[in-house]
Amino acid sequence: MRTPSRRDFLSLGGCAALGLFARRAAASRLSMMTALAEPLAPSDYRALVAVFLNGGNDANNMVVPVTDYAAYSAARTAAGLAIPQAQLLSVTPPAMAGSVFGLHPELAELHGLWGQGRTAVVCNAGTLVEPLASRADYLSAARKKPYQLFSHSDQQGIWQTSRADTRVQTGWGGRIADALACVNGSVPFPMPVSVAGINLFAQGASTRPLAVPDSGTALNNIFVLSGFNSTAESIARRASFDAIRGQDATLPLVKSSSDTMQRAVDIQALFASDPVLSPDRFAGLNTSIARQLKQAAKLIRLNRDSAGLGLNRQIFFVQQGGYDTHQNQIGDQVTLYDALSQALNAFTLTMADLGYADRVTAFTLSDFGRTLQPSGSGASTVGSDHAWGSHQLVVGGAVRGGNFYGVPGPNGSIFPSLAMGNVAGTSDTDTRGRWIPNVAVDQYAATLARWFGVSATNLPIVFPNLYRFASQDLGFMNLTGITTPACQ
Amino acid sequence: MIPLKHRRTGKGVFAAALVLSGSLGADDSPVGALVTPVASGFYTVTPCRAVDTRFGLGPNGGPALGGGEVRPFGIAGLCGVPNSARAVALNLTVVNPPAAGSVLIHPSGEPIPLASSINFSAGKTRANNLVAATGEAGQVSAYSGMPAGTTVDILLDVVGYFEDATGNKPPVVLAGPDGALAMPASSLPLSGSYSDDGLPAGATYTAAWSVTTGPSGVSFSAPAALATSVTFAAAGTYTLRLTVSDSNRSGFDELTVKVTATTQDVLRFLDQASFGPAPGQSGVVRALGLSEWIEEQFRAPESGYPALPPESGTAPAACTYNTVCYRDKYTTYPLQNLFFTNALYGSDPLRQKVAWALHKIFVVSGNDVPMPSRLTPYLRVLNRNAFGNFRTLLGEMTLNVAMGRYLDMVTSTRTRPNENYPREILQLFSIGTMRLNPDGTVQSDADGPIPTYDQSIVDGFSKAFTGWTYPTQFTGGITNYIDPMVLVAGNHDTTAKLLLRGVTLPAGRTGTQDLNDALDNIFLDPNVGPFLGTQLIQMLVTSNPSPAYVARVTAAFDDNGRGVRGDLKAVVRAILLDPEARGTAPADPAFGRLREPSLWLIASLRALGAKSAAGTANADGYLNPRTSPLGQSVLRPATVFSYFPPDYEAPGAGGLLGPEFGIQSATTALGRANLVNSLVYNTSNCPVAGRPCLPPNTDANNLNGNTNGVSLDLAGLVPLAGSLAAPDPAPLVDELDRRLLHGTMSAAMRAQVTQAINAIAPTDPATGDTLGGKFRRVQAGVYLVLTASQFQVER
Repeated sequence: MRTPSRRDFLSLGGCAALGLFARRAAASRLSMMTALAEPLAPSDYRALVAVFLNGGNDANNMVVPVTDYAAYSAARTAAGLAIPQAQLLSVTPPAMAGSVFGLHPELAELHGLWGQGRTAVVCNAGTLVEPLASRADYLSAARKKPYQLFSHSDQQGIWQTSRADTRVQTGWGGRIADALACVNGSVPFPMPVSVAGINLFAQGASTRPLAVPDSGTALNNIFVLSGFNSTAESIARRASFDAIRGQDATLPLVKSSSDTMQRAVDIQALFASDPVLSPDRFAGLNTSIARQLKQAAKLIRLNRDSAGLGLNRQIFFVQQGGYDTHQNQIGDQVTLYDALSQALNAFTLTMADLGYADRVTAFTLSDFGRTLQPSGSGASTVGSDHAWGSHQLVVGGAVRGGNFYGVPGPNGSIFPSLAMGNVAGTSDTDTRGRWIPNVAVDQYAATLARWFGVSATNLPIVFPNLYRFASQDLGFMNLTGITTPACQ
Repeated sequence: MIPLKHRRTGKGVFAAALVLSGSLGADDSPVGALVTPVASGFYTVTPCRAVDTRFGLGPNGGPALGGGEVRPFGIAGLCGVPNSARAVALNLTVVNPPAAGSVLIHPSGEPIPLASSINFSAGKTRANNLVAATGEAGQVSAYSGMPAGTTVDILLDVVGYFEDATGNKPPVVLAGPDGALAMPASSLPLSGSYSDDGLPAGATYTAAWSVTTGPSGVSFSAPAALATSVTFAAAGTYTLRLTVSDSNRSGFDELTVKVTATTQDVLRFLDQASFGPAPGQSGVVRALGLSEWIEEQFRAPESGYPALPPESGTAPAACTYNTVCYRDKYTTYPLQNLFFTNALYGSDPLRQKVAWALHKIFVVSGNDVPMPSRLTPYLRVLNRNAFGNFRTLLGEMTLNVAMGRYLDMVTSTRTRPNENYPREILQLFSIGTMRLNPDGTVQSDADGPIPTYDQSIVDGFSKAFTGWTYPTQFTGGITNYIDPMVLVAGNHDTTAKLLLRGVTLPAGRTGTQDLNDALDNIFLDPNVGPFLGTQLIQMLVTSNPSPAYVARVTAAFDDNGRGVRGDLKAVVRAILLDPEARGTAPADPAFGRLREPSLWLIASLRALGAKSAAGTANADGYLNPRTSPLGQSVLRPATVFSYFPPDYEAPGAGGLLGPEFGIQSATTALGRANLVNSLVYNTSNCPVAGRPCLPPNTDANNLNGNTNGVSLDLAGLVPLAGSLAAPDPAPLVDELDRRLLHGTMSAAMRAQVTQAINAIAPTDPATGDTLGGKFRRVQAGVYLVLTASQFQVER
């Protein structure tokens, strides 16, 4: 079957509109369901934790071919951007038929989880509108490419929305929450929570995420409104304070601001205590990513133990900055990967402590990969530029870990050829080693969404471009015993 | 050359008794169109630039003339040249031609004669006088005798024209006396008159009113009648022109109308154009006039960020971590304080406000460049160019070392070009990723939005910007962040570069040539006006400007009225004096913008006369620790994408944009209310009893201990709070409405504020009640208005 081009898609008119209509219809159906549905038994708990590596993670140094180290070394050793072969943490993924690879030496804890089958690598994933099987496909004007490739904000947006064809205001985390809203009952606590500020990923059509600070702030200190007491004057002022929030609702920006405050007031009661993690697997870790993951862990505990909560599904968004390594990459990656590996390890151990070893899955996202060819001059300043396809990590007990996953590319392998320029089997868009992705964000995300319980009916609503890609389940999640909530 | 003798006849018009016949003389082209002898009069005009291919993309603007190209330029109708002109006297200038060649000016529609108007060699800017007959449609054509593949910029300045010599003089026009108007009145009668010499025989006279200078939104009830009335949509100072034509020649006269804004509008204006109105300020500005205040601000000395001596990148032993020295030389702390004190008390708030807006576009973050000695030169570029030309700003910003360091241009070389700065200058600092119409709407085709550039163009700019690095170090090996970056010729990529709009820079040129031409290429892109204009409107006035508003600002960017592109003064005037920002237009429910944390706090403090905690001195600006938990650490945005995205949609607002909502959450919303609570109610550790404050830090070991705290002048409002004899708090509510909400408080909100105040008996301080009921009434009222969404959103 011919893959419909974007031009076909738009000229049909109805298709694009259908997507919107279907989503609206689904949203209204969901809101009805919310009122009717009984929450599932708490034993069905699951959580997704999106770890955004902000700036564009150079996964060329995160997962390095050892069997074929020469190609990697040829591109990077002279400039001082290569990880020495001896330092790499060896892995032999069954999917790679005997080829040996190495993880970055700072990923020691994740390498340990790999050994326990709790870490997987998804190879060469990236933003795609439709499959691009080759460099020729990429160069063909007839094939659709994501808007503004190589641009931070746009590619971050696509990773978070899974819409490489157009800008939308909802993220796929938020849309999953829209689809599954019924499973959480009518608790005034949203399914998605960002510990990294407001972002597109967790924004749904009808779901608004909650943003909380990291574990530097105790949970019972997050939502506090100070300055009121039981005197008559104070009670009167509080009454007016609350009433004013409902006024001037015909002014949309004023109303939006008031709604935010209203939600803060509503949530206040649910955050009355600050759960303790025992043992504290994060002890000694004081990086931002560790504090964010610790706060997510505390929220999972709060949800598990609070009478008023008991959500069956939660989605978290955390973020680690600093990946835009145009220079000083070698040193910066040591710091970044060390922090990431330790924090994810502590989080994974904490989930096991909470009895959620198989119920919580963390996964990375990043703007894009980076050029295999180094940029900048001078050993201490060498880095790499914005590129495209990149490898992602998936961590948790429900992950079919210890393996690579993906879709075969022009070289016949799920791991891209590191040959740069116009040569046989290359994935390069130009001459600098910018890999054309084999795996679309949509496929990666849909695999997670399916594990999370999004139904086959709702998958195309949550991921409108998914139908363009042959494989809708990359296989890295263990679906055994997974139920799909019927209320959605 | 033609010898000209003339006598003065009137306002800007000269006539020469001269009969033209035959050839125009050896130095000028033997122009075929002038072979018919015609008795003509020569009329001078004030020298006027009719064509400039360097700037603008209009019919008489760029691009530069290509080798072998013939391009017509309409002269009649411009620069006072009437349609009946038979020939124009011109000064032709060629600007910095890349190669030797010639240019010929000749009547449009005629064959190109074998002649030239000017000959030149490479790199020489040269000018020549000439007279050219006008051809088809009153046009003259320029022919470039340059080699193919090269381009040359030309200017044509008109100094006079030839027309039939019947002795007809233009009508003498009187527009009438200057006028004045105070909003909300918006109309004024006009009555003009004229006298004339009766020529030509059987003349019919036509009149036309027009606007020469002033904000847009002016309409005339009968624009072709001598007696009419004019209506203004916004306050400002306007020059109106009455032109009367005797069917052959025309004369004009002008008058000035000053339209004074309402107090409500002045208060709103001060929120937009500065950091919020201070008590007593609106009356002064209203009397002066909004346009005049803006012009005064253009001239005001810059407070800004004083130059600092260079410092070593490594803190010396005497300046170790956790010392005052370290804090002041190696952290952003002093600059953050300066930002707040400039905003609270500076005498150049318009410049500081525009520079703040430009900082949010041209981001360098103190996260990466924390040292004040390194960040200050960048802040000074913003301040210096806030009222300058955008092209100059682009140039200075591109070679600023802090920017070069932040976006890596400082290490970009021929062998390892770095795409970071080239990409961001296009995407964030100038044109954006999508082709825009002049009104800011996105241009689309069947494939969706049309991109402005692709990777090949980013590659082109990357190459064009290679070779620049740190300037010479200061003594002691201190890296120089003060001077512009310098070129290392060997590191520059000299191959050809593809730029925007299909322009290619040829191979083999210097890094300076490539840099300047690449920046010109960006500057001349038609996207700059709507891209920059939309964001500046969002930062100063409203998150959702109408396309027409954006188009008016774009027009001001494209041409400041004197043919100059990129004049930021013109852009600022256009934004702040636009009818959509002024008068009653903000009644639109969608109007306004969420105040970002820093501007919200500053406006609160200014409106309530903030001083030090003791009330005796200015506050010291130690406020970033207050806004940082609210999501905004000033001068330290998280990334080059600034504090919040310009296209962020306000949640639940039906698709309306609300960029500042990008950092508004349940937590920060509570944070704002809690900060108000501290400002209004905290009395612990305050130096003056009965004066709530954010207390000074008295711990000498605390590095942040030099603050003198902040307090509001709540006591000043106590006389308005009512008394036991006359308990009505209406004067207090009115005053809070005026100071904080520009008089927009709804009746429902007023009732709630009043109800809370009325729950407090208006008593004086007494034993056991040190503040007194009147004071607590003020506290309650201030708390409720400062926390209200109606104040969070500036309308």
